[in-house]
Amino acid sequence: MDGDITNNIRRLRFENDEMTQQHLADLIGVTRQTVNAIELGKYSPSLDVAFRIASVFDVPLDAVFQFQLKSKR
Amino acid sequence: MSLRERFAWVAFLGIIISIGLYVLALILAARGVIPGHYLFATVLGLIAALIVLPLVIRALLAIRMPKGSLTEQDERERLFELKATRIAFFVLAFGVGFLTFLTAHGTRNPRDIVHGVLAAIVLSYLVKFGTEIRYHRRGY
Repeated sequence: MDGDITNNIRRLRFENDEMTQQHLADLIGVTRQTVNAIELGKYSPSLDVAFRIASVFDVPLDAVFQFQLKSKR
Repeated sequence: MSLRERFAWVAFLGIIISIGLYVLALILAARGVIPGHYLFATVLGLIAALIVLPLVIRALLAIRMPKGSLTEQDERERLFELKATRIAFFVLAFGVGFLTFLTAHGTRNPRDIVHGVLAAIVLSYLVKFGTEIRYHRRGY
């Protein structure tokens, strides 16, 4: 089954005092480049990192990441 | 550019420069410009460059960018290195297999065999660091 994973990290950062990517990276223990790759949908983080991101913004996981199944023909 | 990507670039370029100098030494030795026994020293120098040079450059970069060096490899960087190492392994395995075949059916000259082994090792290192750089540039 194929699916698309999207996220609201950029919006959540701006809503949290315009947090920078570097600041978020420092809080969750990854590099700024990794945060950028996650935001752009180029990289899917591990559950550990995904939960850390959600806890930084104090929101549930599905408020950060959304999964959409692609319909098969 | 992240610190890990800089490491990969430095190692990649360092290997190219080292192998370039070694090939130059080979050509000069073949033309009689330098004595043949200097080649043994250049082989040792090449091996030292492959092992020591990346370590020295990493230490210097870590001193220049202390913040980056304090963080361990994150999961994405670890994934890049693992994937690159896996691809480089196949290059090395193919090189060694090809060299084994050549040794069994062709040359028995020790110098040719040493060069073949060096070539396989250097090529696999180039593939490893080149692949890491590609992953870093692409972002995934």
